Amino acid sequence: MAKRNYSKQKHKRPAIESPTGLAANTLAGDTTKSHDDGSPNKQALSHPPQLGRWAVGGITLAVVFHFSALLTALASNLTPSYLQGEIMHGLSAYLVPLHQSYGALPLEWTHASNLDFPVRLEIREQGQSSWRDATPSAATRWPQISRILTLITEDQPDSEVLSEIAFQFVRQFELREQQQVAAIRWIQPHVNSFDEDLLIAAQQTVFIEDNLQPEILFAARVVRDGKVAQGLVPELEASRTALPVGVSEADVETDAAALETTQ
Amino acid sequence: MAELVAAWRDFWLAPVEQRHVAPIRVAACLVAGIWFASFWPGIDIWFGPAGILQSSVASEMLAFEEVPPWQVASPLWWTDAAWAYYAWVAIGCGLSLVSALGLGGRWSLLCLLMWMLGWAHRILWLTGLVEPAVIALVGYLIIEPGPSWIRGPKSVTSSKPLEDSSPQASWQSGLVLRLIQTHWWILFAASVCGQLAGQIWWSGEAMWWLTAAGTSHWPSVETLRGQAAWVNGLTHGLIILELLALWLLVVRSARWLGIGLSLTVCLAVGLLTGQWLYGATLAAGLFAFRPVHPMATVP
Repeated sequence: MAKRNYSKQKHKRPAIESPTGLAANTLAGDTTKSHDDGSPNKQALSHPPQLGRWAVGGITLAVVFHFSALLTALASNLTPSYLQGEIMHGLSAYLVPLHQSYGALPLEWTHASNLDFPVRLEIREQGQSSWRDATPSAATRWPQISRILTLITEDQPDSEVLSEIAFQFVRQFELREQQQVAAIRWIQPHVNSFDEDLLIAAQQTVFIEDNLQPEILFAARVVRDGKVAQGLVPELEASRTALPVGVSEADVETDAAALETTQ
Repeated sequence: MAELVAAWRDFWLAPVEQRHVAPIRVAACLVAGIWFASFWPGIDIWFGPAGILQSSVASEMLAFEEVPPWQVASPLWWTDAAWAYYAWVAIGCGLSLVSALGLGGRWSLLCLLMWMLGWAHRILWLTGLVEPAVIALVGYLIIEPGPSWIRGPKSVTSSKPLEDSSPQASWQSGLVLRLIQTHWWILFAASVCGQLAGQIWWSGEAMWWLTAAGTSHWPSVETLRGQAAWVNGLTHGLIILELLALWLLVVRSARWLGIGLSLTVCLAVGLLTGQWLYGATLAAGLFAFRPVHPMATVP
């Protein structure tokens, strides 16, 4: 194949600063300066043939499409608008197979939201009243799946997917530890803010004690047939328990308060 | 208009010596190898017959997220045998090493990319920021992998050795450098924009929350306790460092300074978020920003 060499004059254009910094003619090989980096500057170079117009057009289209898709994916990372969502839906056939769809990945390092703090997985064994920490180590990428679990819990707390995953944790724990599990839950530990931490350090924790309690994101009891775990029954929040017709939650709370006062 | 077209063409397709691509390939493939190896300890937990993400559960999660299965196709969906996952990781490490050495040229890199995608598609919910970045790096390098490091000055894209030792230039090398530079810069800028969208990065508390999350390696909560000035200073300092790095990378005369600051940011990613592999991937991409020395031409 014939190889064409570039002459000095041919590439002597004014330096065009690119968004990524390299002047176009620097990258192309501006020969007006010499550098002593030990590189074969003085040697002859085998140059490729120049590309045809159609080839350049094709590459241009591909580059523009690729980076437009990538920019859309990155711009949709935090809270995608309706339009971004629609575009991302269309681009998913390109981005997802190439694993360039950023979804809910935390590009921002942290925003101190619940998603940024890994949940804790806890197990209660049969015959025990206390909970035992069963969180896989961070080295096994627990923070990543914790983020997904938190997202699903916040979005659809009664999703069957949560029970399925929790049941897998139960099965694995029983296999590994040879212990029967009575219940499982994952909790969002309270992370102290800088000011709260100062108060705790100064032992002034009384008025913030309630805030320090972890939030239970998901809890379920294990249903067994003999020794074999059959499935999970999620424990619903008290506020979601059905009440008789005509009785509101406020009534129940008032009654409970009255009972407490009487006692 | 003609000037604009010429500038665009020169920006993306100017010929560059292939040897400039080789360090990126070596760094990216080494990161890919470590990435594969990092899954080894957790395979028993996530995959296999008793794995949390065994294929039936993972399929339900896919359906829940409304992801069409063909978009995340992988042979690993067909089996829950633990040995298959161990074998996949082991072969991935081997492919990474082969590609880092430059053996097999484009073909070994293409195999590595497919292997990485196959793994990433199966582990889907365990992926973080490192996967898209390292997959993109390896993908770009298929265009021009650069010369092999164990066969002398021979292009890995050509099966024939060069007749002489003259360095090879190609538009593919220039395109690879540009693609990596652009991708890296956009990713870095998106990260900074994302940070600045959060109030804690303006109020100077972000450093506290990063350490309190329990995934950072330095500084510890104990170090920062009661040190408001330190927390604020480190938070604001990090943002300034990132903005400076982004700016200096596009200033030709300050390129090396920009690379140095960016490397500091990569180190901060590892230290503060515990995402060492992501930091290493970003550092590997920085090789593309090294100023390319002008080449002499044949008169």
